[in-house]
Amino acid sequence: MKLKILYLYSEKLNLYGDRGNVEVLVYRSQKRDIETEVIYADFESNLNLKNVNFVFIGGGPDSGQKDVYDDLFNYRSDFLRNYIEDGGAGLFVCGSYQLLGNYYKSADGTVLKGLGIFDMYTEHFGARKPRCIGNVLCTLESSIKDVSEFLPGTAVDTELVGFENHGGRTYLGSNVLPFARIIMGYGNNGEDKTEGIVYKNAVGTYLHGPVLARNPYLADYFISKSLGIEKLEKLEKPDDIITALAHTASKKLKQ
Amino acid sequence: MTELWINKKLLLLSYIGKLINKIVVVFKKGSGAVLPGYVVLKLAPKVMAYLNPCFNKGLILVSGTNGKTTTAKIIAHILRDGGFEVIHNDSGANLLSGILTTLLLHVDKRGNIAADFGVFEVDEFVLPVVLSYFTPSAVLLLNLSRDQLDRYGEVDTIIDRWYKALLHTGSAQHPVLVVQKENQPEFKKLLTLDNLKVLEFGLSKDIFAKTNLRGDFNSYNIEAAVLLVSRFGINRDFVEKSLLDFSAAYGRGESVAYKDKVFKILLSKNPASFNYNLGLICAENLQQDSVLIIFNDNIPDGRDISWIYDIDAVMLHKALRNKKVIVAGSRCYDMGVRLIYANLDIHSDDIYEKTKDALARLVNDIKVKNVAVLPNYSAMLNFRELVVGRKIL
Repeated sequence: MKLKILYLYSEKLNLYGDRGNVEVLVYRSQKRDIETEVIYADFESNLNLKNVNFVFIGGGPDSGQKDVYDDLFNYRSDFLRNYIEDGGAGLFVCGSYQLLGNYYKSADGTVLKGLGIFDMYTEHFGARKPRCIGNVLCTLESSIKDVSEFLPGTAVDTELVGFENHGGRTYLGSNVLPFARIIMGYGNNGEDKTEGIVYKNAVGTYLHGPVLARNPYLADYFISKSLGIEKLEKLEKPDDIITALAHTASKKLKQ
Repeated sequence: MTELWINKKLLLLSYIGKLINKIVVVFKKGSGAVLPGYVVLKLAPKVMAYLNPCFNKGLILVSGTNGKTTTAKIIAHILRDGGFEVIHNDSGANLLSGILTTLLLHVDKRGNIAADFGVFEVDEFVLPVVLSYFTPSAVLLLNLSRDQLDRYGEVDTIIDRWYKALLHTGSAQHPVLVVQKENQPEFKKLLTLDNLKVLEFGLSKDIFAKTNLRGDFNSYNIEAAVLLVSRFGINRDFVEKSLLDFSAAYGRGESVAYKDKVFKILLSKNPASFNYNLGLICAENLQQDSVLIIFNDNIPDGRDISWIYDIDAVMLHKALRNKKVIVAGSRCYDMGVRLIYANLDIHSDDIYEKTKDALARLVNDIKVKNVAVLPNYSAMLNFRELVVGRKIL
C-alpha cells in the first residue's frame, strides 16, 4: 500500500506555504507505516503516473498562473479530468481551484476558459469589491462528514480553520456541493456562505494555512480516501495533542 | 501658503510631535517613534507635502524585504564617522508615521529640517508613497521575497509599484538606484529604468569578515552600503575602518545577557530570514544549547502564518534536533505543529502562550546557558522588553 502523490507545479504555484500540505500527508502516512512517493512535476513529460492516488496543486501569483495555464491545458487536462471523474482523490487550492472551474473573468472583462472539471466560475470585480483576506472558520459539508467512521475512537471535529487571500470570487453551479459552510470569513464569494467545492473525491478550496496542517482530521480523510482504507489508525498521542491545541486555538481567531 | 506660514505650522506640529514623544517615553509606553507621526498625520493629513527637509548632501532611502534596519544603520554609522550630520529613523519605524516622527523630532526653532544627509529605511509597500513626496539622491533596494503577503499582495505587486514610482522620480541630479546583482531575477524590470543611474552590488566578504556581524546576508548589506556611499565620495578603506566598531541593530543578532544566560536575538520574520538564522545556528562554533522560537500574528507580523511551511524543513531539523526547543507567542501551537511536521520532538509542555513564562522556564533551567531566540517582529519587541527593559534601541 503506497500513497503516491502527484504534486503539480510545486515551483510555479507555491506562494502560500501550500507545499506544507504534501509534507503533512507524507508525515501522517509514514507514521502509520504507509509508504509514500511524491512526484514533483512542473512542465516535465514522460512521468510515470500509474497508481497515483492523490493529486495536489497549490496557488500562486498571477504571473505563475499564466505559465501554468498553457501547460495545464495542453498536457495535463485529460489526465486530470479522467483522474477526477474516476474518483481520484485530490486537493486544489486557490489558483488551481479556479483553473479547474468553467472560467475566470478578470476585472477588465477578459474571460479565461477553465478546465471545466468543477462546475463553477470565478469573477474578479477589481476595485468594486474588496479582496477576500482573513482568517476563516467553517464547517465541513455533510456529505464529507459521513466518512467520519474512518477514524474510530476519535471525536471528529468538523470545523475547519484556515486563512484566505483571493481577489476572485467563485460561484458554484446549481448541482454541486460546497466543501464547507462559512461561519466566519468570505469563503467562495462573501455572499452565499459557501467555501470551496467538493466533486467526487476532489476538493477545491481557498483555504491556506496550509489547510491540511491546520486541520489534521482533513489530512487523514484524504489519506483514507486515497488508499481506500476504511479505518485508519489513530496517530500516537504526543503528536496530535499539539495539532488539536492549535486547531482549538485557531477557532478563536478573529477575521 | 507662504513659507513663513508653513514654517510656523511645522513648528507647531513639531511641538505636538515632540510632546507626544516625551509622554510616551516618560510613561514607558514605548520609544515614541510612531505615535507622534501618526497623530500629526491625523491633525494635518497634507503635512508630508509641505515638509521639505533640506539634506544638502543627499537623501538616501533604503528598502527591501530583509536588511533595511541593519543597512540603514551601517550607512548612517559610516556617514557620521565621516563627520556628517545625519537624520536617520534608527528606531526602525519605517512606515509613513515613523518617517514623519523622525522628521518632526528634528524640526528646528525656525520650523526647518536640515542636515547633511537623511538616511531612511522605508517599508517596501510605503516606498512609492515616500517617493511621491521626496526626491532622493539614492535609493537602495536590497532584496525582495515573500513577506506579509496578506498586507502586500504578491512580490510582483511590489516590483510593479516600485517601477511605477521610480519612473516618476527624478530631477537634474539623476538619482542613483542601487540593487542586488545576484539572486534577484525579479529586479530585472528595474534595471531598465533610464531616468536613474542603476548600480548593482555583489557579494564580497572582505570587509564583512573584519566586523562583528554574523550571517552571510550581512556581507550583502555591507557591499550595498559600500557601493552607495561611494557615490558620495567615501571609499572602501574608510568603510572598513568605520565598521570595525559597528554593532548589530537591535534584535538583529544582538546578544543580551539576562540573569545568568546569554540570549542571541535573531529576527526571523519570513522564510528568507528564518532560513538564514537556522544556517547561523548550524554553523555557530559558540554553541547554543537552546532555541526559543516566538511566533506572533499581530499586524506588524502579518496575520497569514502559512509562510512557516516555506521554512526549509531539512534545515529546521538539522539546526534544532540537538537543542532544547521552546516555543512561545500568540501562534505558538501552530509553530509547534510546524516543528512536528519537520520531524522534531516537541511536547506540549514546551509550548507557552506567554513569552514571559517561556523565559522563566529557560531562566530556571540550570542546563541552559546560551539561547538562540528566533522571534518574528512584534515577538522580538516583546522579548526585548523582557530582557533589555525596552522594545526598541
